[in-house]
Amino acid sequence: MKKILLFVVAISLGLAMIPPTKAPKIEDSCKKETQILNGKEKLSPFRYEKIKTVAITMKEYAQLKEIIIPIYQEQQYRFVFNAEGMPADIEVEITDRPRDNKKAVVLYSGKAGTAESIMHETAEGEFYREVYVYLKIPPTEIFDPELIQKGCVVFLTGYKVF
Amino acid sequence: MRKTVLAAITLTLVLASCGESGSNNTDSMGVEETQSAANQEQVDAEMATEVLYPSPLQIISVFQRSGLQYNEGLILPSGAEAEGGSRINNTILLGAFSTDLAYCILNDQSNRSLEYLHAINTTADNVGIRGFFNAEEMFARAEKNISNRDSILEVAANVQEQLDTYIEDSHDYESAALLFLGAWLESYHIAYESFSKDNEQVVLHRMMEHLRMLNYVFEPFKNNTDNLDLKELLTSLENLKNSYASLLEKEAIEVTDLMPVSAEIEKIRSSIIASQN
Repeated sequence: MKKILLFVVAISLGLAMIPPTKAPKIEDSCKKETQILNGKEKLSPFRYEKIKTVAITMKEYAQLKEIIIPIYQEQQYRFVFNAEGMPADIEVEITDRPRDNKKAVVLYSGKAGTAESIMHETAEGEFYREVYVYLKIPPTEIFDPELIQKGCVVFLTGYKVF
Repeated sequence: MRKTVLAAITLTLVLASCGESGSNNTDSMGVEETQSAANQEQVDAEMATEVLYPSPLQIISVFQRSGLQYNEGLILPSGAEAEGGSRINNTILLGAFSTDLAYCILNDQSNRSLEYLHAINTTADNVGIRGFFNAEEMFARAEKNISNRDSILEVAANVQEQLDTYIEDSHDYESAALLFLGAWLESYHIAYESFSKDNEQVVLHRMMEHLRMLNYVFEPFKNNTDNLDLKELLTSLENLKNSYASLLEKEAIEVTDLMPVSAEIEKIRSSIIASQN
């Protein structure tokens, strides 16, 4: 009987000693308001058209965000990508067709560091029906199950006022 | 015997406590997992393909550059917003009012611009974006700078930004498409009803380009067939898309060729206005 009691107590103590699961720590580098303000400055003198904040959670694999922008011909556009709120560099690619289309032409390709912006303008006289914007987010370099890294890219579009 | 009972009670309590703790952990884990799954979904939703629709101000600017003359009778009556109607129709109407606001601003119609700002505010309430606009501040700024076109343009851009933020925060991409549809219908109506012999060819070119933009409306509705009103609307738009496709088969397009397409657009626009009464 005593043995059983001891066994039960031992098991209970053992169970009690299992540490509770800890919630992962979230590190969010997004500075949306500042990024919007800085992005708008870069957009000027083009007239503000649209804004898109892409919220990112870093993953162990690369991520890709596709944004389609219908284009009015004879309109000139400026695109600004503000990556100040990202924990890692981002890559931006702009094409005239979906990237898996063999005829797709890369109109712009570049990288932005975590404190940088990318600015691209469609050239005068270049006519597209639409442009495809691809944001490439690299895989996280920190493999810590107790840490979730977040950030954001602010993407602004503007058009030239004639 | 007493010892056995004591042991049993201890065991029960310990197990119950473990169970509770386990349950807490499970709950906690459950929440964790749910949160993690939600984050995953959120990221996935964010990562899904998205269309950044042209704003009403840009669309009207494009047509304005073709030399269209202002015609007050063409735009929606600014009282059309007060009557009610479905959320779908009100969202479309919100896009149409935003277009009329842009049209008034670009034609220096300051007082009418204010009327449309009010119409946008009421319609936004009808759609369920209650309190979303900082209306008082918006009206105060607009009224103070009524004679300054750039300031009013800034107010209109701010309205657009607030709508974009609402769409983004709520991930309501269907509403984004409906807002664009409203702007699309209204600007086509304005252009089609107001071109003259002098600018016919330029406006025709713009209208053909504008008709092509209809294709983007369907993107967020690819998996949605549940809502009957929406289904009906999408069917009308599909017919319109087909009419546009057959228009493209012609070797040369004249303004008169646009008549059937324009009649279909007018029908859709009128039915949305009628549904408010």
